Amino acid sequence: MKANPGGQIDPSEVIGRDALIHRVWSVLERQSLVLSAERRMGKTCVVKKMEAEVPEGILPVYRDLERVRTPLGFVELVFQDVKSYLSLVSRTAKRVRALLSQLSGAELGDVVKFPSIAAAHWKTLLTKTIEDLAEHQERRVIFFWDEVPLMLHNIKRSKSEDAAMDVLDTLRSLRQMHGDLRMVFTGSIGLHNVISSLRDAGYANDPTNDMQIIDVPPLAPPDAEELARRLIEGESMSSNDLDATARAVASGVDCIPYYIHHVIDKMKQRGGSVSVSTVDEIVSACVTEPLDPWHMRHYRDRIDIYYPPNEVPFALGLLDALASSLEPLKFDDLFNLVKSSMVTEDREMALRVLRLLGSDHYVVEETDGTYRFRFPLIQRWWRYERGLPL
Amino acid sequence: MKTRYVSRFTPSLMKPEDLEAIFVQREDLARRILELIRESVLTRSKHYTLLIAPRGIGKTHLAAIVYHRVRAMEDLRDKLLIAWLREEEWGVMSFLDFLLRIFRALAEEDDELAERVETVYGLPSDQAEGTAAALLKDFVAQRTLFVIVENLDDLFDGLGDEGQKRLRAYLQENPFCTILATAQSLFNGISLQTSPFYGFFRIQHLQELSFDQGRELLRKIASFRGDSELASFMETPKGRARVRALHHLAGGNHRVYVIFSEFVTRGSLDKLVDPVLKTLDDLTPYYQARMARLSPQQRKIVEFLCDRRGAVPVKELASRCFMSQQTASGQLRTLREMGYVRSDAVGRESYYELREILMRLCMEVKNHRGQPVRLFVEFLRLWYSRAELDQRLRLLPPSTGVERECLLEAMRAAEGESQDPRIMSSESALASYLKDHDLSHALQAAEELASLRGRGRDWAMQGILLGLLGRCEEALACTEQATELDPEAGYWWLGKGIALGNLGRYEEALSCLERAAGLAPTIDLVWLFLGILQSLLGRPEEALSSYERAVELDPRLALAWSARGEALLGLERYEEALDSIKSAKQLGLTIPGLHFRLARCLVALRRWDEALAALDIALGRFGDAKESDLSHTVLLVRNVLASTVDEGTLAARVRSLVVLYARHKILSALALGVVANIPTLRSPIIGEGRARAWRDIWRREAADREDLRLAARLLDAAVRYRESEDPRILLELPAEERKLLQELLDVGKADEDSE
Repeated sequence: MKANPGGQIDPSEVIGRDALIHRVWSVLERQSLVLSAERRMGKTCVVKKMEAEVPEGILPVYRDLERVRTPLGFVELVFQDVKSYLSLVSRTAKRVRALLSQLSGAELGDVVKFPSIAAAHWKTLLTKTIEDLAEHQERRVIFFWDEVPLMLHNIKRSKSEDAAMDVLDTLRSLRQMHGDLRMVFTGSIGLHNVISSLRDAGYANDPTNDMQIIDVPPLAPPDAEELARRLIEGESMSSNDLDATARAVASGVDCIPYYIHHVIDKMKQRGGSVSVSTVDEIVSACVTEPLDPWHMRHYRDRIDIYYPPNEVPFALGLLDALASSLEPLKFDDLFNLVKSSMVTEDREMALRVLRLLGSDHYVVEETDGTYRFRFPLIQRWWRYERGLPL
Repeated sequence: MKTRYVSRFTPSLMKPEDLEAIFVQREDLARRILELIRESVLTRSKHYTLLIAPRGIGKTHLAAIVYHRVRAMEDLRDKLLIAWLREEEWGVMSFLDFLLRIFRALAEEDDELAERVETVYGLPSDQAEGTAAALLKDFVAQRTLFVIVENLDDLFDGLGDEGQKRLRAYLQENPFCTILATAQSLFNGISLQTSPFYGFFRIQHLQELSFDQGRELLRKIASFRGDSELASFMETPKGRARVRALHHLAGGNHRVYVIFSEFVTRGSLDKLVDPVLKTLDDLTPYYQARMARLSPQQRKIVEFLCDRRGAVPVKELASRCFMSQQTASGQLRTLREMGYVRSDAVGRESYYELREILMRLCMEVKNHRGQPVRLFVEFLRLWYSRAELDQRLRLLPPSTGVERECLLEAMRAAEGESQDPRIMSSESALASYLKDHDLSHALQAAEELASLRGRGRDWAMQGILLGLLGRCEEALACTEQATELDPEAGYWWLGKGIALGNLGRYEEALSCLERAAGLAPTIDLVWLFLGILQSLLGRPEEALSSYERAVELDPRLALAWSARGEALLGLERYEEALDSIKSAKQLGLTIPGLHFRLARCLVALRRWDEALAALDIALGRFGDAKESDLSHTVLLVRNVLASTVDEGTLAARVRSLVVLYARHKILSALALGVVANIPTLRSPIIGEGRARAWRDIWRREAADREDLRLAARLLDAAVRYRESEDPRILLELPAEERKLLQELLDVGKADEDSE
């Protein structure tokens, strides 16, 4: 087992996710779900592992939707998958074929590319596709749709906000119509970001309120240590204290698997024996290196991208205050600190942005009502990047 | 000489064995990439590696090495397909184009595939992509597809945002690909958080060649071409200085090294001028192409830096290029990442200059066609030392106008220059090697300095390093050169003295050191080495006085404290000796002799248990019975013999010594110590009874220790001979033992003959 930052991980080598996967399967028996997590937490690995180790009677269908720019493009992919499934059980998608024949007079070949005339009828096509599936569903088909928020973002840009809203509403309606239909949404940006921007354009629905939201957390410390240990061994690196080194790797990067792979990869590049001090050096270097090898700058950049301009100063003020504090802060103290860096009395706005920062995994609220950075690693980087004192 | 081809621009055209023959610097990285590919083929893990480096740094060479090595892996053959896309895949405008390029690469070895791909071309473009994607999946089947993509940044430009997203989705949905890609710098397609391939690749920045790696490359090229002239030239100081000039021109760029490898040995100007100018001319389109890749603002900056020649602060650059400092900083940062410029911080200010001087020279070829004086002057200044320039000028016939002009200009430039970049480079290398205690490389840097600059200090440094490496005759020659060039420098006389001392020419050495002490009386090392020589010449009081002076000048000079301790030991001033040795120890000195001295001192002071503890440390750390350590054992045995008159106590001490040396498995050293002390037994201070007791003690110890038997036998014969002076006692010994004992007892061979 070798360090593999960014690459595809063999599902059999995905460690520490069994309990989470068990929970996801169990939720899927009842309802669809949104798999939510900070970037690099390993959502796609979880989905791929589920796809590879599927229980009896379930057919998982994985699709990366990042490339989809139109509702019709989305329906084409869904139809392809349904068609493949139906051909497995010697059935055909009669309803869709009939509709397409009506629309264009054309017969479908092996490869699906709907005629352009079908664009206006994408909702009907999607509905009929799911109806064809529902009629012949011998095994439960679960759609694992990765990068759903990006697809919606694309549709919003290339078509309209209404089109993106329509897609969300149609999917929700299909889930309600077909009790057995299951969908899993995942994405590298939060679905709430997209929905929030649609709300600004007048969208009033809550299109995923029938779906359970499951958070993919970092690995539990023993699992993170186990991953680090296996990678150190897999890379044939020597260490005078393997357990302590693995522990240092896990804690140094807050048990986030992507960074664990990165640290081990860097250790391998360095060569020689590894130790706790090697880990400290690598983590410090990666956090402060101008070339930003861990791509942490996006924690700063995405504030400008996903937060409306009037919220940006609040987001920065709140994060700056939390980054400089060793202890979690109560909201009043936090707001006071924000006010020392900007002129505002808008407490409601500060609270709203703080909640958004929570949804975006920057901030976590403790049980005693205090707030802190969710990941000390990101807090450390933020402090460095923004030139803040501790 | 064999004429073997080393491609300058397209290493992928070279044979695998030729690529391997000149591969340097990146063996570990190549192995690592191969491991990752192997894992990608044998498991469901898939690795994506991206190599980042500017042009000419050897990306294609590394990719080609990996390609050929993977192809040669028999065990992966039926599990793996390789698609090595062409270096410049200009025509890729969509994901479909990308798939078709993969097919083209795969079809080179599979005619049937080529026919299947033909069907794709008959389809409308909106269906062709899906068909091609499905065909690739079907063709790869259970195998892994290893894709090598060069210039990924260009490819991604062509793919556009949508093509990249389609590619990303395809890779996610069909995890059968492993990728090795290259790019000249980080680009938006991978570094922007919103880009599909953000965080996707394992990024590896390739480093430029260091000076030593550059030499290694030239050495390999010489061997590959069978160019023995280049190979042997590289080993000379002049050759190394020439490589430094090349390194300065090339900025660590592999390609420039390859190109200039042909010129490194060119001695005469007439054989150098035309080929170099031609090469600069040949390189111009390459650098023009690099300029063409830049934005207008970046080009403006590069052009300005070409004109300015030296490093420039951002503020000045911004004002000269009519842009804001913020814009200039941003563009310079990008240019640095792309490998065009380098920066140095001076205080809080950053100075930028062109990374490759050759780029500037080539630009000048273009801008000053027909009048290449300025660029060639600079080239000559770097290529030849001042002495060489001077010599060539004198040999040049008066009719050679342009060449004479070039040389005169180069001479003027060399004289006016505060510091030659090659000298700066050699000095920095020397300091770095000395810091790492890498004496042999430090010597090479010192030789280059002597060759380039040839000052007294350069020769002296070379001499000192040669001396430390045990090359005493050469060391002496260098230090003589230093004292001739600069007879008033005390340090150089010190160097010469040490060199002479190392050759056993103590009297001459003493005279050099006395001269050094006269010229530089405040240099502590002069007094230390003077003391050592005085000690060697049997002048312990003078030696002690010199050591006193050395520690007075530098109380932290541990070696001087240790030597002072030895001198005091010899003068039987044991308490003072002990203090001196302890001072050396406190200052962190860890030489073997120090612990032996401490042990001897403690023996003399009758502090036996402490002495044994010190000896245990000495033997534990340094007891490899080196010749230098042996003298300490000899002296120690002598101290023990003198330490007591009580036979029982003496026997107990000898027993402790034997046990200790046996434990450290160097009993033979102790035996030699006993033998070496046989002459001591002739001293009238040691009575016959004491001598007999000493012999009996060692005979008992030797009874069950083979290593001591010879020593006991010689000791016995020596004691008996002392009592009777009967030559027959010696004759009882085998011839070789007899000869040894005769030498020890200073009994002439004539005595034996007379018998």
